Amino acid sequence: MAFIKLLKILFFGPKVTESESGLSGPKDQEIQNIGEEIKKEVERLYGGRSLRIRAVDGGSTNAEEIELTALLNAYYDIDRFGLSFVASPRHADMLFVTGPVTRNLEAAVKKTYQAAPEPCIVVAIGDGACTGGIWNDSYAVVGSVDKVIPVHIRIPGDPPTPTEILKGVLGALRGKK
Amino acid sequence: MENFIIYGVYIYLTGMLVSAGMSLLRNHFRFANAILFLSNLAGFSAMVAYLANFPGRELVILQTGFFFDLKLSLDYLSSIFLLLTSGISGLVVVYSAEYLDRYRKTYDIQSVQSLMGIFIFGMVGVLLSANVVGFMVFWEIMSFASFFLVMSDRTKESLHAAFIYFVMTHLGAGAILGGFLILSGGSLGFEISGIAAASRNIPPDFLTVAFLLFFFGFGSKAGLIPFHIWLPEAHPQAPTNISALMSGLMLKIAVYGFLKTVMMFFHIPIWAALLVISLGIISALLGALYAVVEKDIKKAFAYSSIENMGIIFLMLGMAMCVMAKRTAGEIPLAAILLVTYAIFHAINHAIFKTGLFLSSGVIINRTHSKSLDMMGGLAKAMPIFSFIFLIIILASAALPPFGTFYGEWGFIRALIDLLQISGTKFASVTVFLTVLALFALVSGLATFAMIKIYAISMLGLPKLERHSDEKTDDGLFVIPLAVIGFVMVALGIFAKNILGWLSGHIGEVFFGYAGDIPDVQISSAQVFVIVAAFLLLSAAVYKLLSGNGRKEREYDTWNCGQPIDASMEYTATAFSAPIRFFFLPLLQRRKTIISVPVVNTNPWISKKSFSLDITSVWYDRLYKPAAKYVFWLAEKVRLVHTGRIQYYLLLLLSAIIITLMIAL
Repeated sequence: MAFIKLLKILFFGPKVTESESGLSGPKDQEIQNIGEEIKKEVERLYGGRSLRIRAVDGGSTNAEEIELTALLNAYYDIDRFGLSFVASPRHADMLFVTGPVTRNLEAAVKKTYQAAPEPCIVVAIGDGACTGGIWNDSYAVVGSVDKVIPVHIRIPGDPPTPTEILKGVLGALRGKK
Repeated sequence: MENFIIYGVYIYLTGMLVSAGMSLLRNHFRFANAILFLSNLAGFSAMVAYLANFPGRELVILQTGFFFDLKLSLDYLSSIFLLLTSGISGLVVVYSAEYLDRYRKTYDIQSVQSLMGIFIFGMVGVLLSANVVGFMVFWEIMSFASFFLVMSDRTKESLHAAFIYFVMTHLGAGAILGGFLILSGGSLGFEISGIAAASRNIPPDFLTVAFLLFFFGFGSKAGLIPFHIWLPEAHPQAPTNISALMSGLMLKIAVYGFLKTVMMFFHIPIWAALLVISLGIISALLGALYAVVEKDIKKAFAYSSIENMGIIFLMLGMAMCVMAKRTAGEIPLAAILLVTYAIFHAINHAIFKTGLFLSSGVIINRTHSKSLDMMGGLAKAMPIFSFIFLIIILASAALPPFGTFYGEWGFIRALIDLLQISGTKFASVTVFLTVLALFALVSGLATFAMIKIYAISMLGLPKLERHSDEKTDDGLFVIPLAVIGFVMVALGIFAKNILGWLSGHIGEVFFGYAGDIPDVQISSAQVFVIVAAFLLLSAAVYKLLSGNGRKEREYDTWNCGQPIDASMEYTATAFSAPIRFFFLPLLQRRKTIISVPVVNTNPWISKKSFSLDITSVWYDRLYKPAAKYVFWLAEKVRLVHTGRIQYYLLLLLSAIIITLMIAL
């Protein structure tokens, strides 16, 4: 019985996919512009290869992680600007550290920084990572990321939007020689 | 010169007895130890003088007219083994001064020191004895002293080990005595050097029985499988300095006895040679296998002793095989070489096994555990010791350029030569090829076992925190070990000369052959130069590749941000796992998983513990049923003992009648 019901929904139910016209809307021009500039900077700094990023969770609420995941989806698609996430700090040019560093993850953050080849750009993402946020002075956290490892750029926001993150990355790359 | 040597031996013997007595006095431990060392030095220098001046000539030390004409004398073989005994005992004595001092609470050091003197005295006595009575009396002194030494920490395991040792060693001693009595026709004053002549005159059946008795007696002392049951129990339970003496020297006394008796037989049947070969190769293979899977460091070394004794008996068995097949009047050059390699391997094994056991004492003193799974990381804490230990370990793995390598390599060369000579005879080709293949397997397994022991105990991180901090190389501990390491290297460098010298004399001693012996076919200097060049070259390549002006930064291994600790390391059990799985049918392990529920209401939440043991097949399948049968027999015999005196009188009378019937 259930099977027939399923077939009914499949063949006679309402259409759930969007119409073609919805997809071909105007692109977010701001992201496009930032992305192009990042691409130029990456080209200048790394000579043709992409900028490789390792994300480290220092004890965040996962809000920042969701935004970082969004960077890779079809809408933002940062791969086209020469940014890519890697699985090991051994391959990373840049570290994304999120969350106030908890005492349990302090060693992990430190070790990740040590394991990354120099020069390594450290980006603190989110209010927790920049200042400790609402968890500051808690017994369970060390505090902002710069108490554990040197931080080159901070991207505030709880959480920052993907566009803000991209802007922050661009800012970090611009200062570099 | 002769007087110097004779007095040297007298000083040696009396010095040991004086030291044994002295150490029983309160607070004279150091003094007794020094006397024991000096008397060993006297014995050593006397042997050097003897071998330098008149090797091969018999030198009578003591000739008495009483006590079955007890006679002590020196000849080539006994002087070689005495040189070894006195030298190694001297080193062990130096070591035990420090070792026993540290274990004042565990052992009664006065009695251990005293018994050690008596133990060495017994071994020296066996080597000096020229007739049966001396041989057996000193043999028993050696056995009893070591029996008491095995149980010197008075734990339950030690008593058990000592009991098994006591039974086995006395069965062996009884067999040896029986063998001597058959050959001598019942005379205790019989000179051992007369065995060659005596074996011509007695019927072949008696000779067979004598061979079997000698083989059981010396084989059980040497720890050949299946008579080895006492060895892995007793050697590890004894104090470490005694383990070194037992494994390094006492086993060689068994080889000496075998050389002096069975190898002197005028005629050896081919099946006897094959028996020695097969027990030798089984001991070598299983000994190496047990050494690989064992995680108790001292037990692993004990099994490695079984393996090496197996190799020595295998070499002797091959020599017997060659001798059995020779035609009348032919000089078996191959047999001379094989015996030479066996003796050379015995010398090497005595030295490196002493070194290994002494090292295990240093390690156990540091980690307070015999289990390899509790060790690790000692190389950083004890750099000098670990380097010396590495040399001894490499020597024991029979790698070039150490002396051990030449013994085993020479044996392989001799086997290949024999293969060429034997041509297409199916039986001999099969035997030689089997031996060759199994011997190669044994060498590989032995190397694996030794590398495992070194890597697990010395490298990596310490498994227990408490021995990680201090950085000490212990003074008196390290000096004897350094001497042993130095001797191992020297034996490698001069291997060719020593082998040539040995083979010349052995031809004379065993076969009365004084002519040229074919070259031993290896140039030790060449091998040494090749190895040294290889090491230098790899060092240079490493320098070239790693330096080169690049900027480098050193930090921990990346482990996903986790700290690296000792629980991630290879353990001895895990390291040997592939070999354990492969040889499972031979090894018989026992796995136990105990699961205890934490709360009674839910059986799924439980605390689990796991243990893995290698069970002794020999003990369970061979010795336990035998013991059961003996007990059953004893129960049956007990029925005779009714307790009535008339009945006993009747038994006595019938015994006399039966005896008279047989005798008349």
